[in-house]
This record gives sequence, C-alpha cells and structure tokens, in this order.
Amino acid sequence: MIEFRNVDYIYEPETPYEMHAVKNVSFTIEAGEFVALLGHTGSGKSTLIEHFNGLLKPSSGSVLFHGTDIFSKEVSMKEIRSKIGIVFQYPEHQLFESTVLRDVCFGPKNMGLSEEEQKERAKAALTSVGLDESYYEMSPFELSGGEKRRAAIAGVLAMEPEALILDEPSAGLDPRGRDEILGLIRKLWQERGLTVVLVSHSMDEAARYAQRVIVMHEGVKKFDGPTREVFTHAKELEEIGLGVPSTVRIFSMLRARGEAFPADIDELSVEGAAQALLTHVLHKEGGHV
Amino acid sequence: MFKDITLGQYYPGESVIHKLDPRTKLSGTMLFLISLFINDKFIGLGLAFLFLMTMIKISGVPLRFITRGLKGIFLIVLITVLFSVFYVDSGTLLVEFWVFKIYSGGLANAAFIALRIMLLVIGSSLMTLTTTPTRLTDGLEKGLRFLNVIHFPVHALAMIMSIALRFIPILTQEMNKIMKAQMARGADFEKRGFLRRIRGYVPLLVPLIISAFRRAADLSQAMDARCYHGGKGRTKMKPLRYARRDFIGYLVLFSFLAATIAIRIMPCGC
Ligand SMILES: Nc1ncnc2c1ncn2[C@@H]1O[C@H](COP(=O)(O)OP(=O)(O)OP(=O)(O)O)[C@@H](O)[C@H]1O
Ligand SMILES: [Mg+2]
Repeated sequence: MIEFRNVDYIYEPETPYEMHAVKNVSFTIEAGEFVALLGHTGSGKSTLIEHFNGLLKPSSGSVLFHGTDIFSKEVSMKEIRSKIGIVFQYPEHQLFESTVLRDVCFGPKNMGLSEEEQKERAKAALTSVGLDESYYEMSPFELSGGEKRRAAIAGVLAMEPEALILDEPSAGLDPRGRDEILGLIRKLWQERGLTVVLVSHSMDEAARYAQRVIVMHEGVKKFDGPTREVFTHAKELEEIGLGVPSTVRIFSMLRARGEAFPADIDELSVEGAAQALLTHVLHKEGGHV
Repeated sequence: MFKDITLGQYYPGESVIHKLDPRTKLSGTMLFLISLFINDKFIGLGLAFLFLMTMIKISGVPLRFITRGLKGIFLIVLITVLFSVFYVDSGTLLVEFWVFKIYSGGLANAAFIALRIMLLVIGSSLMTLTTTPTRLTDGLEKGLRFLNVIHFPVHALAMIMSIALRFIPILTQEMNKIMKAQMARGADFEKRGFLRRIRGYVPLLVPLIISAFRRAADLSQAMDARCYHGGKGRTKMKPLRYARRDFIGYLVLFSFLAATIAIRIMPCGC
C-alpha cells in the first residue's frame, strides 16, 4: 500500500547545521499490517514518518501510495493526507477549538464534507476512542492528559484514513493510560482492518502489539522483518542501544544457564512466556499440567 | 517562511571575530553604523564596503549566508530606491515619461542609499552571526552597566532579552510542529483572501500561544527553584574580560572611523 524507495532526507543542506537524518531507506507496508518502527533517540523515526503523507519531500528517492508517487501531479495532497492519518508526538498540543466536538470536526471540515457529515464522523471517531456524549461540548483544555490525547487521536480518525501512523502515542502517560491507548489502537486495527505504523521506544510495546518490526539506526534501516525474527538479533539490538523485550531477555538468560526450551514457545507475550515457564517447571518436577 | 531571517542567527566558528569580546563587537557595530551616516561620498562607502568584506573574510562566514539576510529587506530597499530616484532633480535629465523625470543625480542618490542600507544590514548581521545570544546579552549587560547609576534596570533588561532570544528558535520549532500536525489534518495555510487566510491561522496560533504560556510558567518555576532573585550580588561563571585582540580591534575600528571622517571633510568632488 505504501512504498518507500531509496528515501534520503537532509535537514538544512549546505549549512553548518546540515543533518543527514534518513539514509537510503526502502520498504513496503501492506494494507492491514501492524508495524512497529523502533530506534534510539535521533535515529530518524519522526523524520521518516513525515514522509508518509508528504509533509516532507525526500531529498532523493520517492514515496508511493497504491503505486503512484505522492508528489506526482495527478495525486491530490489533500486526499493523501486524509487517507494516511498521522498522529504526532504529544498530539494534545494541537487542540485549538472551543469544544472537543468542533476540534474533531476540523479534519473532516478541511476535507470539504457537509456539516452533518462532519459531525457524524466526529461523533463516530470520539466513540471509537471511548469519549462519550458528555465530552462533546467540553473545552479540550479541561480534559485530563489521557483524554486530551484520545480526543486528538479522534481528530485524525475522523478523516477515516486507510492507514494510521502514530509517533510514540504512549509517551508521557502512566502505565494504565498507556495500555488504554495501545489497546484502542489494536482494536481499531483488528476491527477495521486499519493499517498501523507505531513509532516506539519500547521493545515490550512492539513485542506485544506489532506483527512486523522495522529498526532504524542513525538514519539507516537496520532490521526489517517479523517481530519474532527481529528480536533474535539480541546482540546487535543491544549494541545500537535498544535491546529486546523483557520476556525474550528472560528466556535467553535461562537458556544461558543451561535450561532447555522448545523452539516454538511464544516468547513475545507475557501470557505465552508464563505458559512456557509453567510447562517447563512442571515438566522438571515430573508432574502433570 | 522564517528561513530567510539571518539576523539573530548564529553561525558557529573559531575565527578571531567570533572570539572577540561581545562589547568590542557591539561598539564596533555601532561605530560602523555611525560611519555609514558620516559618509557622503561613494569613496567613503567604498571604504566601508572594503572594511566589511575584510571582516567577513576573517570571520569565515560564507558570503551567501550573509546575503541571505538581504532577501528580507529587498522590498524596503526597492521602495527607498524608487522614491529617491524620482525625488532628486539635480544633474542632467536622463529619461522623461508622463510625470516622471529621472536625473543623473537621482540615480546616484538612489544607488548611494541602497548601498548604505545594504551595508547597514550586512554589518549588523555579521555581529549576530558571530556572537551567540548569550554572549551578546552578557556584553550588553556589562557594557551598559554604567546606567545602573541612574537606576536603569540593566540586568532585568538583559535577562528579558536573553530569554526572548533563547525562545525564538524554540517557538519557531514548536510552530513548525503544530503546523505539520494541522496540515496532517488537512489544514491549508495558503488560502486565498485576506480574512480567510487570517482565519486559517487560528489552528496554529491558539496552540502556539498556549505553549508559549506553558513554557513561560515552567521557566519561571525553574528560575524560582534555583533561587533566582534578580541581578543583585549575582556573579558570572565566565566573566567578560578584554584580551589583546580586543585592543587591536578597537585600534582598527578607530582608524577606520578616522579615515571615514577624513574622507568626509576631504574637499573633492567624488
Ligand atoms: N527540523 C530539524 N532541523 C534540523 N535537524 C533536525 C530537525 N528535526 C530533526 N533533526 C535531526 O534529525 C535527526 C533525526 O531526528 P528525528 O526527530 O527524526 O529522530 P527520532 O528517531 O524521531 O528521535 P526521538 O526518538 O527522540 O523522537 C536528529 O539528529 C535530529 O537532531
Ligand atoms: Mg521522534
């Protein structure tokens, strides 16, 4: 659905502040995938995602949406922006309207929809992020941090995009708020077949939610593959300051101590790990499950 | 849209000009500006031009960086030039159409003024390009310290200025972020029509102002937490001290000024 071809991006070229932030990155994201984009601070994740809907134009290379270059003449940027929704880091900082409902209507309004349709979409989006009618007429500035963030995500969902790109949607939230937001994103992905790209710092988050992982390091794509496979490169991941999910780490420590586990256990989810450990312990004691 | 503002931007470097005491650079810039207004002959401006080019060469700041700042004042220069071309009616009549008459004197005058404005802008941007905002305000604070005698709040003013300067890049960055976020929601900041365009900026300005207030509150709390209580009894980690290069700098500056005055009182027709 979305294809990056040899994308390069340089900030402020030919000045002392020149920064080659993205280097020759290529990948294809298929419809319905849930991809985690991982990388250390400054590895170019945010720069990369601003290419998805043409906010940045590659210094060289191209970005294709359903096979056509998004910067070619026959493509309308407005349409691209409504089909590929981007939720930026701390999206609550973009709220500006007098009421939550009106703020969520902003996207649909810019798409040129009728007022009725705007409201319909805004209400549907707010419902899907778990904000009910009592929030419609509230000022966005009197919401709590987590609610603000959900309202801001609704602002993007209201455009009914085919793909949703989120830049660290869980940053600065408490564990519960984090689980809520990520659970919500997973639900949207499962129920609507939305394509999701999740930028994250957390290996555990990626392990828990994503099917595929892309790892960035100093502007270069370092790994790209199924989550399970990428996390077998524990050593390389540690070298670039990332590491592996805690469950994977526990199993590699146990294996290093000489404990043997079958190869097909589910190391990525907490539930799977618990099951594997339980089976292992019972097996050792000669008991039965 | 803020890319062309060179004034207030720092260009990192290790040159003598970079290392000069900010007070030297401040007085130097003042003297240079004064010299521009003392000048009434092309040869004087020529000298100023040469002087400035030498300084730029020494500073190592690429020329295109400096001329970038000129783009922003292009319109002002153009208007001034147009006015003075038609205003002066000395010398020989060159062109005449409808009510407009262009004299050779007017043309010379326009060129003179344009050159003067450009030198003025380049001169001041050279200072800001080679001095970090912190050093600049340090220089101002120390250079204007004598005003404390008449209870002029020099320290407070310098603090306000350094905070303002520090926040320009932060708020520009913030603005870029918000702009991108709203554009991702289909906002269009290039709408036609004056009113629609202004209305189009609301989604940008409201979050920006809120963020500025949030940052101001954070900063005042942080200053409080570190027991900031104004300038009284406050010491500097890196106190400003004149070095040998500063005395040489002043020497060069005053020679330049003397030469300018000499040219001014020189009785010649050029
Ligand atoms: N507007 C800009 N101008 C110049 N350089 C920039 C700009 N934005 C980012 N950079 C630089 O580009 C590099 C990549 O930044 P980017 O924001 O894409 O990293 P990131 O992976 O998103 O980091 P984080 O995890 O901290 O969000 C960094 O070195 C950063 O300093
Ligand atoms: Mg980022």
